[in-house]
Amino acid sequence: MDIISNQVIERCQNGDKSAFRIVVQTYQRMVFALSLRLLCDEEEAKDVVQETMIRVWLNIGKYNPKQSLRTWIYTIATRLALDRLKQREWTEPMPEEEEYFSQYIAEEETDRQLENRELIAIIRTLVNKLSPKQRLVFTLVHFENLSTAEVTQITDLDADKIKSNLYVARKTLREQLKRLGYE
Amino acid sequence: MNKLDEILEQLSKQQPVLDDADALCDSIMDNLPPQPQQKPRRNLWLNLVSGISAAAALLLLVLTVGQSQDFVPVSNDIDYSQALAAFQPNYDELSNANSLESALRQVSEKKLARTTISQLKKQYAL
Repeated sequence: MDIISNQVIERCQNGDKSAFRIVVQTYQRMVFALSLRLLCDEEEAKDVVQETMIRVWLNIGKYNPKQSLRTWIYTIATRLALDRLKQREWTEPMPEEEEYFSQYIAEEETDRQLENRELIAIIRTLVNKLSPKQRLVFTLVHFENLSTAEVTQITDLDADKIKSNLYVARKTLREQLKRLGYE
Repeated sequence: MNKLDEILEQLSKQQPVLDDADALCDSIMDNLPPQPQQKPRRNLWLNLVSGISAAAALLLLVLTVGQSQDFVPVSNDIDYSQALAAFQPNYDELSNANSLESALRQVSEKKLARTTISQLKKQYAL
């Protein structure tokens, strides 16, 4: 459900920057979380937040209020992050990142809030072998907790493709865990 | 629950921390470009009406032109032979025609220019 009212959106569509500040304040954390989990780089994640919000501002005139604003923003952010993922040469996780991962698995109190660098290290170690598309689907479903219908809307992939990407992703992750000695 | 699901469940609860949210928001707001001007949408109804009007005008034009070429009021009293002779004395054959249809047929058989046909029609017109 959207937190932003149609009145605020209308004001944004009429060029009201103070109304748009509300949109940025509401959704920047969501975009940052998605980008950080996908790109595993804090600075790049902030760049994606900035680019996403500028695109939202420039295209809000075309936004249809019948669609969810949250899903629309997710779609823009996802495309920008995926472009970066595809352009980038993915490197193997560093030994110290695997060390973070091992410590996290061994911890008894796993509910403690991880620092960003710890979270990045753990995710990088876990999803290292996934293709950009598998990473995207996996992140949206397992980390962002979105429904298949929402993922379909955001990625333009049908339900079968989402399922198959998730299946391969989970299989790859299990192999990765096995390699690290945890399954 | 297997190990993978356990790890995924724990990780899904972890929210990345955006510690300088206000600074990021300010930076975004400072860098916003001007919004593109929205083109005013033309009324669909207006488009429809102007389309229909244009089509009707075109149809009317075609009908008027066609009618002005085809409409040849013929008088039963006219002496076709005389008329033809007066119009085109050089075409002796045509002067024998006793009706417009006959004259036209003859013109057509002799492959005369279209202008001649129009002139003939004018000649027979009241």
